Amino acid sequence: MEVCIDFLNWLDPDISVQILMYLEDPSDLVHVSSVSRSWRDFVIANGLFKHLCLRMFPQLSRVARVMELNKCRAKKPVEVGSSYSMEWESLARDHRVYATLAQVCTSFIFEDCISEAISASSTDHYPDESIHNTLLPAYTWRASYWSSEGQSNPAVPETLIYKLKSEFCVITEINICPFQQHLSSLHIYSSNSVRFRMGHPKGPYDLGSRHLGDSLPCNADDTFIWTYTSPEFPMAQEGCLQNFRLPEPVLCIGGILQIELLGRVQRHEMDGLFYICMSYVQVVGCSLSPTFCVEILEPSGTFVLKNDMQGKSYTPPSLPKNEAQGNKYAVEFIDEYESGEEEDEAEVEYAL
Amino acid sequence: MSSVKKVTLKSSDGEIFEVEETVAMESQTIKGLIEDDCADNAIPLPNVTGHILSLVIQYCKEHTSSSDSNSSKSNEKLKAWDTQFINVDLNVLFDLIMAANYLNVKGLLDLTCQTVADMIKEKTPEQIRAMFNIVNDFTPEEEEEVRRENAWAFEISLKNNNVVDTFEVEESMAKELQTIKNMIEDNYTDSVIPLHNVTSDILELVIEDCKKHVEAAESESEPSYSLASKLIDDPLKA
Repeated sequence: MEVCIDFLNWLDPDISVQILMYLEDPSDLVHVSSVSRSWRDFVIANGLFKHLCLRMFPQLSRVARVMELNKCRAKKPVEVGSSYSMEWESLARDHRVYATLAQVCTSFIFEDCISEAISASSTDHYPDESIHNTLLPAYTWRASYWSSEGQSNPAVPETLIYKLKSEFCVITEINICPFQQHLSSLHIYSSNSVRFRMGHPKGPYDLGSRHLGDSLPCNADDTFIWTYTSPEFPMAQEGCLQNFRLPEPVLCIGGILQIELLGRVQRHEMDGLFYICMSYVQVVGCSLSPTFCVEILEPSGTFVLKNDMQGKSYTPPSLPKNEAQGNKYAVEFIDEYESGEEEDEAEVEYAL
Repeated sequence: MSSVKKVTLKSSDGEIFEVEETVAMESQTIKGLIEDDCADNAIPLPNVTGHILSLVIQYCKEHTSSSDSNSSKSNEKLKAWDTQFINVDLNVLFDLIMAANYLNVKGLLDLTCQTVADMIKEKTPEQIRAMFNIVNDFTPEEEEEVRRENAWAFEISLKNNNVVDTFEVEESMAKELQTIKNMIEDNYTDSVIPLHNVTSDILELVIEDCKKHVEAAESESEPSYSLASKLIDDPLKA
């Protein structure tokens, strides 16, 4: 018995939306939009791609509006059977931009996302022990590390601030290696725990005018606005590369990441003060630039999501055909920061 | 003899159901009526037929008795029961959706909606249309535009077949390709013909082109072997 069950057209819209919201794969939603005119209109009218992206990245709730840049089409896209209006055009634009964002988010290539170090809350023996050292892979035969200033109170925290590759990055995990003073000693200058924040600069921020690892403490609260705070992770008292995986991938809007080091552990034998020292820091994620860029609207803290249509070509769907494509990704770190071993330079490898 | 309180439900087609109050209260709608003291006589449910109402009551019974124990084992059993329960005709499925909505039985609504979504997952638009008997009212130009807008979604759906990408094609179409035609005529017994020299994207384009040629060949009698062999010989040109 052939009965037409074009349910999008006669079910309660709320129920139809509920059904379609169970679709997690963006390609499924694309197929749904390609079934018929009314189905496509339904997906656009109910902002289903936006909902999909919001579920992936709640950070997108602060999008004020979207924009398309460098649209190369001479004529407007075919308005398939719906009446044209400003509101509809806005919904259709949302549909296109969020569909592209959803697509990009299914084909990540993960890499180190730090572009440069901005500042540390304090630095000992500047510039020898500046934050810049944390970006160099540590060699066990040559001490390269950032050190905080000494404190008699172990509760005094430290922060390290980094600039990421772009203002729109998805971050999945952070790797940190605390500094171990001597290979055979137990003096490991780690912290008790660590927490991460992400955000954007308050107003125009000229990095050029700041020295890397400036000894002047950066008053972070005045300079940056933090829009994401991770849970607190305990840190092991080991001089090896430690992995801190965020509970969910996070969209860093603004491209600034702060590492908060909470609780000092190790006293220096010379002056009896507590120090925190880190050898190496790595932030793993994927930059969504140039396909996407953002403009932060102060003081509301909302932002404009811009899709550069010409930037689209940088993530071709026909990437190298390995199993790491699509929703699967693999980043492998070969950790050779083994304490007590004088060996070759430590290697950190990424495998896609 | 238990003195369990019961309520009477009456379906749209006059069927009467006597149900324990706790079971009936799985429906927030009925719960409201009971609490407002409107449930002395039979509660009329004009939007639900007897057949569907009996199914809803079955669901509620199963889920009421299991709500006491929170062990994970009973959750697993419940899930298995749900899977069995929801294995119904498409028509019945949608009737259940509407009944669950009208009677406000959240668990049943979630289950039925998830089931429909699962049916849509990983299907092409053609398959979705076939399943729900939906008319494709796009013009060919509109459809082309819609597919092109998100071409990535159509490529990937074909690639999701494990490691080796397989394309099921009709034999008449496959024979358009001289190489494959020879293989078939030589009784190549494997069900899957491996094409090591052709990548997935190219193969896709070739297949699309062959489709068009098959359709054209029905009206013309010109064989398209020359084009086909050219495609096989020089896949990059496709």
